[in-house]
Amino acid sequence: MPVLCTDDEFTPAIHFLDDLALFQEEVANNAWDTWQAFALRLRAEELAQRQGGEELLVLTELKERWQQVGLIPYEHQIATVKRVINEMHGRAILADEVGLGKTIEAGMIIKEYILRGVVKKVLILTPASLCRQWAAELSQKFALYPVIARGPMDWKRYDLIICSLDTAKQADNRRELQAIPFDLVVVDEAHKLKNPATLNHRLVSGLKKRFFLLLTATPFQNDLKELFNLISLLRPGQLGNFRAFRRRFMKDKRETKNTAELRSLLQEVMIRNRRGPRIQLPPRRVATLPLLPSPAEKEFYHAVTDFVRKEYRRQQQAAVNPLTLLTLQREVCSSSFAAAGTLYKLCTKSGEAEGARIVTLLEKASALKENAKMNLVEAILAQLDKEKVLIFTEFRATQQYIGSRLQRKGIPALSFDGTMSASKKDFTIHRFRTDPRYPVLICTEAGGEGINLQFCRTMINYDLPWNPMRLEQRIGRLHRLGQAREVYVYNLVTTGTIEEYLLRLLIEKVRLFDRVIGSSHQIIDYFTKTSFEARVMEALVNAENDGELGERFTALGAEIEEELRRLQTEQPAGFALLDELDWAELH
Amino acid sequence: MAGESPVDIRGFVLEALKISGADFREVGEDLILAEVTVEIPPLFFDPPRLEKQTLNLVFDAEAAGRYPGAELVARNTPRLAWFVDGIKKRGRLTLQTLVCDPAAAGEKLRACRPGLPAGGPHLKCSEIFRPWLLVNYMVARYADQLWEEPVSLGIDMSSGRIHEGLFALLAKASMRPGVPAGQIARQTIPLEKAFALLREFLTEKIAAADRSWYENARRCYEEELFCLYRYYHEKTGVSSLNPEFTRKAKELYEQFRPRIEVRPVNFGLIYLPEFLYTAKEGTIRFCPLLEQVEEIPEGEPVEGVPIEESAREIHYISP
Repeated sequence: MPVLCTDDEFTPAIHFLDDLALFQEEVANNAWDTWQAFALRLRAEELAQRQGGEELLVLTELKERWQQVGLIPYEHQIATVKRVINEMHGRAILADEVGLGKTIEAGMIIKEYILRGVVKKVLILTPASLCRQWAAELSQKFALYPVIARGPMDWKRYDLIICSLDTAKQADNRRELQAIPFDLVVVDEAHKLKNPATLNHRLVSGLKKRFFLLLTATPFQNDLKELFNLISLLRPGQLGNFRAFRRRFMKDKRETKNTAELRSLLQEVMIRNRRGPRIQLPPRRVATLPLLPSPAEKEFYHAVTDFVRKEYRRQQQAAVNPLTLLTLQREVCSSSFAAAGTLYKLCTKSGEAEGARIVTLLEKASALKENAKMNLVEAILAQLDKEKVLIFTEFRATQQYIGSRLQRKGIPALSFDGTMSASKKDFTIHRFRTDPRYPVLICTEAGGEGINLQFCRTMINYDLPWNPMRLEQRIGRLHRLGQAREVYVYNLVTTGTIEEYLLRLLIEKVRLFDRVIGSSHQIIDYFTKTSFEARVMEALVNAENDGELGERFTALGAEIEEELRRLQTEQPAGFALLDELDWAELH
Repeated sequence: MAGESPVDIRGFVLEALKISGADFREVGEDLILAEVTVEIPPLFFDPPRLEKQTLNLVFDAEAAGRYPGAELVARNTPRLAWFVDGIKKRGRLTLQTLVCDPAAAGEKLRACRPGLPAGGPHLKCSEIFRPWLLVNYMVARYADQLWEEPVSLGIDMSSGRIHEGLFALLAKASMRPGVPAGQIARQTIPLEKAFALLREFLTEKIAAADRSWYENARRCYEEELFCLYRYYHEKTGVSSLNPEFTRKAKELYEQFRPRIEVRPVNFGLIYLPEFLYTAKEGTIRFCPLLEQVEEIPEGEPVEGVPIEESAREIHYISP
């Protein structure tokens, strides 16, 4: 390698910060202190002395805080922080699997650099929906108090800034940001930078930064070029230019060749921790609790299902949008109150003939003052004593019903949904965590996205989402790194409804509760790309009776099982490459 | 790191409590109960105020288990940082005179010069105080990491001589605040020159010190730059002119650029006693603290207050 810089460039310049005038002024002011204070001042400086090296300051600095908030730094996280700082010189892609704590690792790196005195100005770029979560994580777990930047006034004024990628890439903001020298830039969900032609990529590439962290669980999804672009953003030249990369490492856009060499190059700039024998979550215990609906509930369910089936089959001539029908069917599985809301809306919009049928359904719904599921919920809560419990439902009407029933029973519960402001959400979570008077949080799907509730270990699925990924995300609120205890998941299933078939399929075929879906690209891909809900609906409407419905679900289950098996055996070499980039192998 | 054992940190905290005038009580060897005054910052319409707080402090994790609720004070803990920050507001300047008994100085001289007869045969003994400027520095070496190191230097303001171990010697000695009442040697080195001499000395010391930290940084920088150069050269063929290459190269340089900052922590004006012994053979000057013996050439005026005439007990002028 040629010598690329001169001795002059790399001879350290010495800056003396002694100021004779200041000293003389202090003498003139008679600012004398005792010998003991003088000596102790030097001792204080020695104790605060900053030293680079292996030892992580953050571990002792935050030990007490972490005990208070229940954060346990894992071995793989500590190893990652040490490697990023000592071996990778602060430029790395953190590509851990979902739920293994990339944010914690990034927080530790930020804090460590600040404690070591080498980083002052930090910019964190995230999707807008995660800005507040980052701010909360940094303040609660790392005693760092960032500002969520809204405009140009904030960039220069504050040292620790969180900003959404969308805000940052606006022309004015981009220009301002690219003029500021940042010590550290962190980009969350960095797969959004995989295309160099996008504004996202151009923004981040143009930022002045000394240290640089990219966080993503999916450094590439469909094309190895995405991986190349991401690595080249971090360290241009690491994989050569694209033509050379393609020639040397790509069989086609998803298949690699010379994989061992490529892996070794990736390991120099990327850390990927995976679940395995070394990184394990506490077990999940899943209890499926079947319950018998009351006769009135049963009648209402069948009446609505019949209505949905008929309307759905009418296709083009249907008076009701198929999506609304799908929602109505899911609602009737959740509670009569949820279904009543949609029925009411349909009633106001429909014609006379349809209207009469819907009114009949609405009357049946109004007649149902209680739902049998709540009896079971109360029975579960009675057994759990003071344990914090998270109740998940898909629908706000159901959430309100659960809340009012619990109130009547004298069980104070907090509600959490997507309509709440960010600060109210933060406050509610804080209250649920710290206030023993509130043992229950009733959460809707939309509200629960992205929240971390590791302090709680019991979850009741009041209804079941029809998409397994959403169910997995629900469980992921509790069952994630930081959860120290066994997690209990109670699934409430009304017998004789589609929920019963659906749950059987998820348990037996998808083996949803046996494995953590987040650990498998194939399953995530399969369920994100396939409209699973539509397949379930199709099975329901095409079945003439329960027997046929059962058969259709069995066929659907077999199909899914086969597809997942195929995906796992035929996974492209590109994915295998990522899967092998794990911490256990690195160390 | 040296000096960071629980015993050392306990010693520091005790000293800090004493200096700040806080009430405290030691319970056994593990626990310190202290009542300290803390400043509560202003909040909305409330002005800042002082408030008393009780601290229960322990210094190792085992003791923390024995005293539930007590706060652990160890390296990098917030409570130690609080004490450190408090102490950093004190002790910036000090004016001190070293206490030295002439008889003890005589003993020391004889230990240094065993040839001298006991009790004489000098005809006259006199005492003079030399002014020294003591400066404690923190030297910070930056590349992609930061290393700090304290350096203490003393400069004799009469001769310009620099001594590296002055603070360590003074730390073991007995000091009294203020200027001595006896004769003080003339300060011939102006402050500007003293500062310049100290800078010069430090620059040489740093230049002679371990270079591996910035040589490593240079190696990393060159590796990174080479990688970047290859990428842009292959991509555009005109890498050195590519503004993106130049910008990214600058970024890398900023990441690894070595630089050193020397920050003075505190300053002391220290008066060190020296004894002048005159005999038939000539005069010698002896500094008991530095254990330095110097012969004064014949004809050079001998200053100092004769010991017989001056009171044995040295008087000090309070600062």
